[in-house]
Amino acid sequence: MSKLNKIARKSTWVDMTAFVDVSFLILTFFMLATKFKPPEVVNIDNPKSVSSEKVEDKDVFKVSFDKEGRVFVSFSADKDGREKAQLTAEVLGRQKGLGLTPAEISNFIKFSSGGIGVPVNQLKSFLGLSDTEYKAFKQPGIPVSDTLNNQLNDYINALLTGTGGRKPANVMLNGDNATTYPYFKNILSAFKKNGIFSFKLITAMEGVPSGTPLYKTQQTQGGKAAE
Amino acid sequence: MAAINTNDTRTARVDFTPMVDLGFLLITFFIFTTELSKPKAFGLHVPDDNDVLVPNQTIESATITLQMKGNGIVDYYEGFENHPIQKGSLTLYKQNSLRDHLVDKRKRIIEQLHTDSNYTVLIAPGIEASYKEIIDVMDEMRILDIRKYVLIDATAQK
Repeated sequence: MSKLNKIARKSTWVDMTAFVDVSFLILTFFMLATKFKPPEVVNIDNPKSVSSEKVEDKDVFKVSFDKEGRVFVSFSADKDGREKAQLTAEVLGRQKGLGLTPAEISNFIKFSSGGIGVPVNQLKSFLGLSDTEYKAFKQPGIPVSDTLNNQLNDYINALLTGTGGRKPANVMLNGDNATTYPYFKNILSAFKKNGIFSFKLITAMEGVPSGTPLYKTQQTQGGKAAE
Repeated sequence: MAAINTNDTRTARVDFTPMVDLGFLLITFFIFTTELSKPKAFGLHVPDDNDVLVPNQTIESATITLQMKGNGIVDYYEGFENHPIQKGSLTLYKQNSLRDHLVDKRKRIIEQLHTDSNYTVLIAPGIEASYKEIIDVMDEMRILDIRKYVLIDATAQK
């Protein structure tokens, strides 16, 4: 009995040093590997594809559509994207007689990296919002369903008129799994009308099923690369 | 001097527990904010509707049309719709009979024409088809290495 008591009374000090080492190692990994998610006002669940092409983030014009069929346009936050956003706002304002002030145009540039999804006639009041109001505001989306009043067409037309026909280097479509085909079709027809025929669809990565032709090509290409 | 010496011989143990707590708290933070799998771009080129210069005829026996009905159901006909070589219904997700059928179709084309270079798939999504299904069918074209596939609009006619 006395022996047992002695063992129990020994201090239960655990050396935490190794634990600290491991936790900070993992921490360092995450800090280096991390790329902060860009703030998005719209929640989109992308479909998967076997494509392995990288998504560019320079000079991007992106059209997003969520599962309710709300359509948004956005520009990348780099120099080219901001310039194109500014030209779009100026031309759209002039074409539709919105009378946008310089402050509203600079708001357009700011909001355009997160997504703008309002009909043209609501654009002026929308651009009067503050940053916090913008985040809380539920945008109705750009109307595309009516072929005679496909307002995405107006946005794209303003963009190309502003740049003098110079197309953005990366035209991307960021769609949700559950969006139905008519929305996708109307978005494509708005682009087609303006002479843009090449897109990059944003997808999540998926493995190639084994035994299929693509799998075999990748295997042989991989073998060649290793040689 | 003597007092300092005794201090030195004592083991200087620091309690690291709070540091571990902090470390894991930060790890959790980074796990939640990080985006490890970067999205990939899927290139899509669509034809100009007004462009009449490009001949867009396909070989009847090497053409298959997929009508997407939604919920992973894909109806197909080979050749012309009014007198098809074969027609039926396939599924995209359960069992993926679409892939099997397209592989089989290629085999039959090679038997008949000795090449699959004219193998053409027309993809006609219906109004019920979701974006996910459209991408999955186009993805299937890449997986099966089918070079000629076109997204056609069949919703206006019906």
